[in-house]
Amino acid sequence: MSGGARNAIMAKARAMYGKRITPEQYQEMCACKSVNEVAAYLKNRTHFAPALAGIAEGNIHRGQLENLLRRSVFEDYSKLCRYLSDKGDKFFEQMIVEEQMEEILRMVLLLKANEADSYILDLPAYLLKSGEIDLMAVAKVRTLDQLIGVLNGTGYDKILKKFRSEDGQPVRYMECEHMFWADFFKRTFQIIQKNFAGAERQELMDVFKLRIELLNINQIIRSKIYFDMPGERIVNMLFSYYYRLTPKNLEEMIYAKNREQLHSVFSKTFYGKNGPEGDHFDYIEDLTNRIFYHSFRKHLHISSYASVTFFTYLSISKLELNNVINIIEGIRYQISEEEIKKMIIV
Amino acid sequence: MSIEKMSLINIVGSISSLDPVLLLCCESNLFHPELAATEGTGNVFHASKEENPYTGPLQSALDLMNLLGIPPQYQEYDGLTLSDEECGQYLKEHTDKIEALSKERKTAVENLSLHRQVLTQLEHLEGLDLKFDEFRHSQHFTARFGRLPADSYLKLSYFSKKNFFFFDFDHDDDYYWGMYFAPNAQLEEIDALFDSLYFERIEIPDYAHDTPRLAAQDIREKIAGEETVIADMDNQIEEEQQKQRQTILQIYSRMKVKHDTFDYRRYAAVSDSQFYLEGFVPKRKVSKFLKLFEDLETVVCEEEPEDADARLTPPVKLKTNWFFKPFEMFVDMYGLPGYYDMNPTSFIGFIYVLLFGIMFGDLGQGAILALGGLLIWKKKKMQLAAIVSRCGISSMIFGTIYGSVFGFENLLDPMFQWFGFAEKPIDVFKPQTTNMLLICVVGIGVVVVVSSILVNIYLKWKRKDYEQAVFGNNGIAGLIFYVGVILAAVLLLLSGINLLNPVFILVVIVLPVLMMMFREPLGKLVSGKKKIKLEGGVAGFIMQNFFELFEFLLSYVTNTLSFLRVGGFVLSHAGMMAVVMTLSEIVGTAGSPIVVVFGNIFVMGLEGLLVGIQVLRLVFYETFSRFYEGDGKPFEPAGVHFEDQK
Repeated sequence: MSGGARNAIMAKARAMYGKRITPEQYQEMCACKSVNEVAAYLKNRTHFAPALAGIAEGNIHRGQLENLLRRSVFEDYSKLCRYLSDKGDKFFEQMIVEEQMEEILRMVLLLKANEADSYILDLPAYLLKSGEIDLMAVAKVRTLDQLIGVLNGTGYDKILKKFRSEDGQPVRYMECEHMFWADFFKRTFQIIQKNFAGAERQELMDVFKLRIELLNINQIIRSKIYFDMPGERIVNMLFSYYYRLTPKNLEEMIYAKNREQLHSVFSKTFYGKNGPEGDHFDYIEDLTNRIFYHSFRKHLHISSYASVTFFTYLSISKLELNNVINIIEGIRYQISEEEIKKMIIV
Repeated sequence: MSIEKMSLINIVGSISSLDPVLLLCCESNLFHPELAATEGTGNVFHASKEENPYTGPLQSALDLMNLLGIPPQYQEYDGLTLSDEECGQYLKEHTDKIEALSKERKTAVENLSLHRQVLTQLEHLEGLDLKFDEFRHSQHFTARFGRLPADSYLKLSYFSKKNFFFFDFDHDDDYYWGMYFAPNAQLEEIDALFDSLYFERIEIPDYAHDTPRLAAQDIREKIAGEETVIADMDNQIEEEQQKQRQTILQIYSRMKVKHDTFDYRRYAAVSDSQFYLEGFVPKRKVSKFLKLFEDLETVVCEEEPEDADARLTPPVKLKTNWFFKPFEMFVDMYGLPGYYDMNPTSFIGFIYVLLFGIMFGDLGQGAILALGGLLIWKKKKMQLAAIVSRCGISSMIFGTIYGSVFGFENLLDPMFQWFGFAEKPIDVFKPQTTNMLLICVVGIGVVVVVSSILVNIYLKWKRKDYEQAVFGNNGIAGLIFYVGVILAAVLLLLSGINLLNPVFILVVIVLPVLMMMFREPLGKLVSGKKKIKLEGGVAGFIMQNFFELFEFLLSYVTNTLSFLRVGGFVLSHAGMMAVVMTLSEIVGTAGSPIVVVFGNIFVMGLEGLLVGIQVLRLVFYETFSRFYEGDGKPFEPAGVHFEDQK
């Protein structure tokens, strides 16, 4: 990537971040009484205005609103991609690869539930025009074998073949999902190793490892608190990457005997020491998302590498999108304003 | 340089006279209420917790004003003949009437919005040359008009085997406008499919029989009709506003006064039959205030010393002479002084005006600032404008000394010659003047710093804070060190007299330094405390105080040299005007006046702002930080404040 392109991406990403939704705007959105009011607010008062310019906010459907918001985030990604040349582009394509992979996993889940017909309705249309996977063909499959056929040669087919069952047993989805993500992370690290060097490589690895480590924390705490899962099963659902936690930290958390012990172990880790006090295990994603947001925001502000700025900006954009969707869903299901506010990550 | 002396006022009376008493307090604008004490009254008195009965009527008045677009403002209401109850009735009747009109208007606005939406959609269908009736009455199929999101349009190919056709007539980046046909037998299924693709139906009104183009024409006529209805409603509301404006404002004013006055009940302690109020009144206004209550037989109002109630700290009202009064703004910005402290407004106002004049010395530009500031002050009552006008006068004085008028450096020469001078007193461009100027401004800096230290010693001594008054870096120890070192340096440089003998070094340098370093234990000793515990142990104490001492000594140097900027701005102002003059010569006779005018405006804008900020920085940092604590609470007299009277 040329110096000009690098500077352009960094400047553009930070400028786009500068237009983000502010905490005050979130508060105002939370006070809206209907989805239509939120739509009007987003259209008139936020950086989503261009994406929502054509909507009739008085009668827009929630699903359509969410689609437009998702597309807007994707268009932000496309705007940044315009500055790219060849070198290192594989890394930037991983953002699309990730979204496509999630769509494949969605199909696996729908096949398991015998609801593949509804797949097309939620398929983001922007993915039909980008990426290497023909998602329209994926939409038409009705069996796992057909899906393996469509994905032939992509690498995903090899993973899916492991979940074929002779006796008609349903796919073990969680295991399958874990293998997809493990494969994705492995490929991403390979791309980082190949295309970047020195401190840039290290910083990229750090942000990715942080992301994975937070996923591991979510997994351990959810498995133990909600499902009381045995340690051996939890181990198989983790990714073997470490950033601030050591394997010993994870092991202690996995094999903690009860919630108190788990909390005691967690509070001695880096995240426990630097996070808010108290037990936040009932909704651990809230805590990990906040850690994720604040760390990524720091990288976005201070990193001198376009790749890091690019990746952290997009990750933060997705968090912002989630915030907005949480508000929309919260208002739709008439959750109290205070409860909705708690879900917002800022 | 003083703070208004206060008296504590106690008002006791029968509960029936509480409202008149509060009204008098509010009207006098002299009474700063405090929460009356309820302890020690044997549970006889308790805090008043009544709900304000005027909240509802006041809100009704505001709602009606809002409906009619009347901004809230005070209106004399002595002539209002309606009782409070009748006022409530009046507000209700008129609110109902206006709401009915507004409702009708709202319906028309909604219809208008709907028609406009339909029209927008129909305009996209104008490419279709078919009559709506032809679709409406078909027995075998149904047509739906509307728009499909562009994302969903991409997915239509997926449903190619379904029994429908979609025709688009128009599209942009986000939507495809068109229609789909579906057999009536499968209509429900196809409708559900398009719903899930977020197809937004355009409801073609029943009155649209013909082609989209003609239907659009029909809708345009309906839009015109609704617009007429809205205009008619607006006229009626406007008429009502004109007719009722005065009465509504009178009711609002009366309710506002009653509401806000009642609100002050929260400060009162009440029993079944009596009330008790406490508050501060400026000492010199006490007799005037007490006279107000002479006619109220059941009320006793007494003056007491300001420290009579140990719970209360008197509020601060600055008393400053008219010239420096606007500078109270800067003091407010920093925080008011404590009641027993000193009002620093005149002190900092003098420094501000003096330094501004030195840095921005120009007779012409100063005159513009003085006049401009005065005009804005007269018109808008902006404190900053009043400050600018005073700074302008100072600029004029120093501009005269520099002989500078709008950048013309020799315009005043004849005047000086007439007075018998060979040339103007200070020529900024002369090299020897530059050196002298820089030495002088450092001298001014020394005077300012020493004055601030003296003020600090006075205030801290008054508070019996000997640690700061005697041993602090801004106390006597700091003063001896600072003045001694400067004196020794000046005498050595100017007269060759070396004061640095062992006695001088010991008394003026070493002793004050040690006093500053051990100011905390020494201060406690002087205050009579026998047990002195050093925080962090001896080693920690020495370590911490050594670095603090280093910072003190460094700050004496930096704070003094900080005043060099004053000289710097004198030079930069003269330099910038010299550039303007050079440019005016380059452009020739025709363009010269324009360059001079715009150059002056530019320099006044840029330099004026910079100088203003720099002087403020000097005042806040070099003086306030030495003695000022800003922990006073403002004098806020009870009163009713209308929006237009702020």
